[in-house]
Amino acid sequence: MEIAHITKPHPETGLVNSKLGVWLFLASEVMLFGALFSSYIIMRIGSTSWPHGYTILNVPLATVNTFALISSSVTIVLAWASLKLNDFGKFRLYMSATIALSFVFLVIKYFEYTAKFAHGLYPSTNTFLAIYFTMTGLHGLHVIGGIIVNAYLLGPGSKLWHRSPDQFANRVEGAGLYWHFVDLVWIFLFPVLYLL
Amino acid sequence: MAGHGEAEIRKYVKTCIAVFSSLMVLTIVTVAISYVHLDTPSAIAVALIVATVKASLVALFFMHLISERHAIYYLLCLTGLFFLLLMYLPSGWYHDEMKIHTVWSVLPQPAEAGHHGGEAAGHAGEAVADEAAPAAEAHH
Repeated sequence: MEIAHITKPHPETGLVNSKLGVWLFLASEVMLFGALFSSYIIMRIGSTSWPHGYTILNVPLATVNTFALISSSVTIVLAWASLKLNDFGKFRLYMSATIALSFVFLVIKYFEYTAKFAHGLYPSTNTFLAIYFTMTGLHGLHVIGGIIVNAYLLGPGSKLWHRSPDQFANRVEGAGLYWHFVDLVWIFLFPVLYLL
Repeated sequence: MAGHGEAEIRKYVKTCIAVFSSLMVLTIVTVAISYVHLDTPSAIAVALIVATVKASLVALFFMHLISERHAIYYLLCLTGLFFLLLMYLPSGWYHDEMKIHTVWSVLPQPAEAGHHGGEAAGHAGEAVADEAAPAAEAHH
C-alpha cells in the first residue's frame, strides 16, 4: 500500500506528512532540552556560587566543535540541494562530509570527557559538572542518532533515489532539519556551559 | 521551502554559504567577548543575544523557516509558548526568596553521607547533587 502524502503535499497543511512529522518530533525535542535548560537556571540561581565554565572546561576544543557542527549543517544543506539539482555524486560527497564532521565532534567530545575523568571530575563531583555532563551527554546521543540516520541515507537508504527521487530528497530534508536542530542546541549549550 | 526550481536552489545555496560565514564570525565574536570578562549579568545578556541571532539564522535559512507553510508556524508558536513557560518556572523561584530558601535548605540537609551542610558549600553548590537523592528519599 502506498503511503499517503509522502511526495505530494497534504491539501490541508500544504506539507508532505513526513515533514510535518519531523517538525512535531522537533517540537517535542525543544521541550526535552527546554526542561534541562530550565533545570540549569534553577541550579545556577539556587547555588551559593557557580564557576565560570572556562575555568573547568576546554574552550578552544569546544570552539573547534562549534565550527565542526556549523560546517556539517552547511554540508547537509548542500547534500539536499545536490539532490534537487539531480547530482547524486555530489550528494554522496556532501553527506560523507557531514558524517565525517559529526565524527570530528564526537572524537573531540571524547577527549574532553576523558580529560575530565582523568582529573577526577565526574557528574557526581558538583552541580555544575552534573548539568554539564547531562546536557552535553544527551546532545552527544543526538549526534550519534544523527550519524546513524545520515549513514543510512548515504548507504542502503540511497537506493530509494533510483525508485522515488522526490521521496528520497524529502527524507534527506527531514534528516537535515533534525541535524540543524542538533546544531541549534549546541549553539546555546556552548556559551551557557563554557563561556558564562 | 516552497519553490524548488534550479535557479532558486542555486540562489538558496549561495544564501546558505553567506549564513555559514556569518555563523563562523558570530562564533568568534562569542568567544572573543568571553575573554573580556564582563560582569555576569552583561556577559549572560550578550552571550544569549549572540546565540539567539545564530539560532535564528540556522532556523530561518537552513531549516527554511523564512518561507515555510503556516502549519509549521502554528506548531512552532505553540512550542515557543510552552518553552517560555519552562524558562519562566525558575524565575518564579528567583522572585520568591522564601521558596528558594526552603528548597535549597531542605535538599542538602541530611549530612549522613559525610558531606558538609548546604550553607557552607563553597564551590559551585558542591555536593548538592549528591545529597539531593537521600533528601528526596527522606521525604517519602
